[in-house]
Amino acid sequence: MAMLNSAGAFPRAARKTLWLSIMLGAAPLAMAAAGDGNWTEYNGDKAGSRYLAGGKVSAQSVKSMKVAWRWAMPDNKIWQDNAELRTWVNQSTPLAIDGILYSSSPMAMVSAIDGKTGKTLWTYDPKAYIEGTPPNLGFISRGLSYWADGEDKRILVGTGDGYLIALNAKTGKPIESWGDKGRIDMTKGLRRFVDRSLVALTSPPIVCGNTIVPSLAVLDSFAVGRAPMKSHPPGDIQAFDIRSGKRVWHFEQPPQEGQPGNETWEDGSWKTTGSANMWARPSCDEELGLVYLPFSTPTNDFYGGHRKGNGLFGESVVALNAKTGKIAWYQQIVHHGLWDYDLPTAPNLMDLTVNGKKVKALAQVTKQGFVFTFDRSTGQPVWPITEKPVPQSTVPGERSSLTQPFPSLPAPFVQQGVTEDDLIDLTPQLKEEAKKILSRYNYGPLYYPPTTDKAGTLQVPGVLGGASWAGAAHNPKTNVLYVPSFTIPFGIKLKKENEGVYDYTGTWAGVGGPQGLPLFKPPFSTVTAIDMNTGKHLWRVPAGKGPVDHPAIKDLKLDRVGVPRESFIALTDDVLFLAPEGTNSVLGLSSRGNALITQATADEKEPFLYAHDVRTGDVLGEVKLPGAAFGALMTYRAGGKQYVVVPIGGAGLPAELVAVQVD
Amino acid sequence: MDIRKLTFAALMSCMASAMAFNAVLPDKAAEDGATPAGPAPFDLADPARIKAGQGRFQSTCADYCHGHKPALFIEREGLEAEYVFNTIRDGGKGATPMPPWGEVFTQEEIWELVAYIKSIGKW
Repeated sequence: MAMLNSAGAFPRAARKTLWLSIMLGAAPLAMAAAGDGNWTEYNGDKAGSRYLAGGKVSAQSVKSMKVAWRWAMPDNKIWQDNAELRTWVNQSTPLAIDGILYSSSPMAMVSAIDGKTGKTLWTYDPKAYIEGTPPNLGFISRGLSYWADGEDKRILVGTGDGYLIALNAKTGKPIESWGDKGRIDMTKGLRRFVDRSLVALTSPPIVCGNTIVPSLAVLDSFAVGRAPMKSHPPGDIQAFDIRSGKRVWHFEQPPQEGQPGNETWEDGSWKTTGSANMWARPSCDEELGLVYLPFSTPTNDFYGGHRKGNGLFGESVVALNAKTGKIAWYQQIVHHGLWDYDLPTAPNLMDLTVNGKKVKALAQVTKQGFVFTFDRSTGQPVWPITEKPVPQSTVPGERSSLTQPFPSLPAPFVQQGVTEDDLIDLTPQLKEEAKKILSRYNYGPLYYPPTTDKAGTLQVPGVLGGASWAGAAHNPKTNVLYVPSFTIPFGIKLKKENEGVYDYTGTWAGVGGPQGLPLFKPPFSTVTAIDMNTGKHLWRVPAGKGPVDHPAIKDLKLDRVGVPRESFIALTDDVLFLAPEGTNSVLGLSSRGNALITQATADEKEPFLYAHDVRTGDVLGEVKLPGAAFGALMTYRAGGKQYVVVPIGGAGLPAELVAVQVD
Repeated sequence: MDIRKLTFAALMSCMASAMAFNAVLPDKAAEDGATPAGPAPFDLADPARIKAGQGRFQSTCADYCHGHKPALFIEREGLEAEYVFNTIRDGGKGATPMPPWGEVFTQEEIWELVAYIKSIGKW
């Protein structure tokens, strides 16, 4: 790419020029958030914008950011007293409504906190830990949902043991008239028995009109090395009336006999294939009455010999009528997925002007580094999407898709696939060592299939992304989309199974580079600004400083190369806040055998919150946090001040919220 | 807010509990019929071997698995060299998601990984 400098980022002068062209075409659009200082949804709003309008946050104010308060989560004592109940890293992001913060915690305990006095107003404990650790990564609760109708104000929370709970926002008590005494058992009402240890509600549900649509995480067997079952929990979506908790519709995934899409599952594989669930949060356009669901990969993640066909609606965006659950449109992003390229985050909804024409659009960022953009009323692509041939699997029994969809615009925002030219070459020695590591793997372009020999396939982007569950931020006034991304290659190796359900299952390992540095050239992570009216990139800068002080490269005196992990973001009119994720190391499996157990790093190298100029990506300010970020950022105003809140700790460290004053 | 500051001592106490927490990973080889590893072909305390093993660990085992400061192994007690060798060679065999490395590394290279893991443990 001609405009990239040696660090893979746009030169500063070019970034400024590109921004000027944006501002000339900018016009306030109907979806701009109200400037009331509230953060009423996990993603800022139902459009997934991660944006708060108004306020006094400026290039000047973020030069003196400071930690204003810290709040310890109520479940710290539980895991400190019982090592079997260790949580995953703390990913719980609060809401802010009229000066009150509502926070979840890894164990889904819910607290209301007075934003002015710091007093905890109430805490509700669903006791989601009684039966043990939830699947995959254990105890995670990414946040809450809020709903109000006049004086009837409710907080909705999903739990690690499979329940959806409605609380009175004033008292923290369950709403007895809702569901079954205030809760709904999400393991029930599906097409088959679902083992409670295999599912969890980690993302907050969305309320779309009068319907609440919860997400449901399902055990990824490969993640914990557990043998897959023949009838894995399905990816069905159940939706409920927000007032009564009664089920209003049930969307079956995979589609059952007679339903559209059923024909894409050969040999009756729709009967037993599981997952293809929606673990990420959906988006909602209440005006159109549509809820937009981002679905994941079917079981098993890396071998599809037992589910031949494209496998709708795996790895698809599906728009459903929120009232009826009927399909309005769908688009499959990956056919017959073999890479665990789940759609990892809520689509960003935006009102664009493309070639002079108004388009109500939806932009889905993906782990594999694309932004797929559709008319959100009809599902038609905003820019052409072409089916292109991709490498084919040679694993016995597998029949990979001959083509995959490639968007013509916007351009990919991260390295896709692997060539020797991509290897780190900051010094000749690093390059030689990197070549040796690369030689252990099979590799090729994007969608190179998993393999059985050597150390497997070097998958880039890896199973974590690319873009990730951290999502993307969008300013509805300028229509600029900000996409954090990173490159951590994964080695995916298939192994032959002589007994059990599948002929092959996958193993995985994150792949590093020489001397503890990443395997590929910097930047190791970036944030990319994209003008969504034109589909063109405006700028791309490294996300965080990264390992510039590493002995092998410190003499190069590099400025910023990016932290080789994902980053969390929140957007204001002038400033994009960004916090690189902390690190952790896996200790083993939960005693239930359904989740990884990990230790967060106490002396993190770069526990910073950065403030970037939205126009150029330049770093305007930074503040050191008491721990690295592990969850999504949010921002709110209370008492005349604006704060950015960062979840830190968990996984062996105390889980906390840290509020940074930014104006 | 319930404003609190983490003290160094509190952090250390958290780390200590992490060290003592072995999840469900065994310390010793199970009687599973795996091919015996045999004795290490060199002194596991050899600094050059440890360094080679550390480099291999950083590029293979650290990112999003065991970490660059692997809490699972730092000051770990009670491991057996042969068990560690077999686990690296054969992977988790369904008990954990760890992939097998026996087709990737030579026996000598795996033993260097064992040397590194032993150097940061107490066994």
